[in-house]
Amino acid sequence: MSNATAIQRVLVTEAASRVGALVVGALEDDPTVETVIAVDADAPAAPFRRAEFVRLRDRYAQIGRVVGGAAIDVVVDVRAAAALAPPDHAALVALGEGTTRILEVCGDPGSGVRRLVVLSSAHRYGWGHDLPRFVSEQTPVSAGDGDSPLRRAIEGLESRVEALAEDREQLALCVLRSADPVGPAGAGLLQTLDLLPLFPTVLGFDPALQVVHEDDLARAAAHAVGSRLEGTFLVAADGTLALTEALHALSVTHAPILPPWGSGLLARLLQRTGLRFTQDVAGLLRHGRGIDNRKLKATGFEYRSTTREALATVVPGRRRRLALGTGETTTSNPYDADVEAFLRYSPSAQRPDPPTTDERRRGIAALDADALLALLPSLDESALRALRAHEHAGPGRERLIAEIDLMLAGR
Amino acid sequence: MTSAADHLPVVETDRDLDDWGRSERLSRTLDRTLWDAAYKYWYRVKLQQPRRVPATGGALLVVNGGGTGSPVASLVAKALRESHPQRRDARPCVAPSLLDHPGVAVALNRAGVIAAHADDVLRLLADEHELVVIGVRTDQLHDEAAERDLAGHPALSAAVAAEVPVVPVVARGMDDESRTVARLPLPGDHELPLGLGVPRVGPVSLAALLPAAIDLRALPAITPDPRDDERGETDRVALSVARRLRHELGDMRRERRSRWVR
Repeated sequence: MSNATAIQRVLVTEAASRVGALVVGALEDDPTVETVIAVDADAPAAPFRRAEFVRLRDRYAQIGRVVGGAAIDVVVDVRAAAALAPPDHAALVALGEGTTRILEVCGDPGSGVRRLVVLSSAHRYGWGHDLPRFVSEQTPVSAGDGDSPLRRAIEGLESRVEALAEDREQLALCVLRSADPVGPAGAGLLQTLDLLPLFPTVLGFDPALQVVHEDDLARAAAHAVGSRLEGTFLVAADGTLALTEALHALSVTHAPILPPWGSGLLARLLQRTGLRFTQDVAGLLRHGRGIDNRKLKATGFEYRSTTREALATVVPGRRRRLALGTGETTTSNPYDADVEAFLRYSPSAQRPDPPTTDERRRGIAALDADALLALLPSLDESALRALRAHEHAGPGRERLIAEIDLMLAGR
Repeated sequence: MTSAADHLPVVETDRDLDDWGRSERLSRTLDRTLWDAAYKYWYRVKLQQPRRVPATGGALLVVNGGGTGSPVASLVAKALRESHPQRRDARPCVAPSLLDHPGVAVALNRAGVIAAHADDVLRLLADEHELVVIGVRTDQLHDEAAERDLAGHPALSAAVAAEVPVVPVVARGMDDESRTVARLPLPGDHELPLGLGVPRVGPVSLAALLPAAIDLRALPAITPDPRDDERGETDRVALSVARRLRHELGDMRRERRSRWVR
């Protein structure tokens, strides 16, 4: 890790995905990042504050021109994390081709790219009883059982970027292996069973589960860029829950209806019939996985949500998804390339002042009232009083203040 | 960059389970009922020299009388809660394959038992400063078995890597008092010991072991000094622990007049 504070010019892939957009947002808040270029094949749902968006069709065919033209020195590759939030088989399959283009750009001797930050996944470890309760950066990636498509895709990505970093010594590599990112848009691998009327668990087992809030993952990526981290880091929220605890936090009805024996074989058969991710879901339900997040915390990174708090933020979105049959959220301010070009470059356009540092770091106050209400039970009395004072002085959301008063009266 | 040990996860005090899966409520209930009855009335356990178990910091306790189905590690944990000056808690450690059986996995996990995995034990000993107990079979205390089994035990490797004290604890009245005529193979390379009473009264004979009064004696701690040769130091500690347990158990058995009374 280097402490240099030189200004950086960063390119973020898959920026139109939810995770990608959050990473771009977190980088926009970083004063050491001079320029953020967001690229994707699709347009983002909403405009960025100061990042510039470039639409790259044909699997990043023209990424070399963008990197060279913008004098990019850091590439943040979000594709793997975006393909897992929620799990998307087509995006995972497409990882290989995009990786080739990105590695060509980073590996070119004339390239100005000095650092590559890859948002990978803890699914690299697979599942199995040979894994420790908490996998760490030192845990051999070969320790887990199974050869699921998810694990293969992540392994393919990581092995190629590691090989490139070995070949090109001046390229610093940082791999962030993340737990399943969760948030209002979804609950990671657990979401694949969301449409079942009853969530099935394996009889006689209650494995460990750890996730990370999508905002924390985005902040971790920005932290890796800002702090110039090198090496592999695991990203997961504090708190390793039992699966039943996690399902309770998600308000999901569950029952141990899967037999303890033969679930792996059944999952492999179902996988062959075309059902996606069944092997990984079987691994999750049977073995689970805890994650040791301390190496990243030792670099100065602080998580804002525990696993339980992260899962609590899934609930309102999940109810909406089940009711409407879609996870898409609408925005009153959708992205339009022509409008963005006018607002940014026309001499007639009035540009707003950049946000202050306080505005950038609103933290918990940035959450909407539903998300805050879900978090209230986990706050102690002093935190509740501080939040009430903040609400009273600022946003003044009456429902929230009334709920805090009720909780304080009961303590 | 600070040490990873300084960044343990935050504790959510309103949760019943800790990050290792132990249920505070269930552990307390078991302690007040099952283990209390077993400790005071059934096994009549007595722990000698409890001060030899460190008052603070991590330590690995190696007790003889272990094996599949043996309660000795849990009895040592109970004895420490009862007799140690600091009333320290300890986590029994078992083979990971034992936690691979439906039902058993959840029950042992909730009771605070952990799987013997070097990374996990290292974290408990070095970073969380906890006590971990492992059991070894009394008939496996000879040098050859110690070099093969005890030296290869993940918990011992972790203790040597963490450079925490290793405390041998002698248990008199466990498998040393019960003649084993056969061992019934179980899934996961486990074996259930069958005593002399099996041909006459079947599985009930397993209870023949139970009423023996159990004496536990903590021996002086061995502090590993791995320096350059961690593997060699692990072998040395394993041999030292096995020999001390063997000799002390021999002395204790000679002192005993009856397996039923002290």
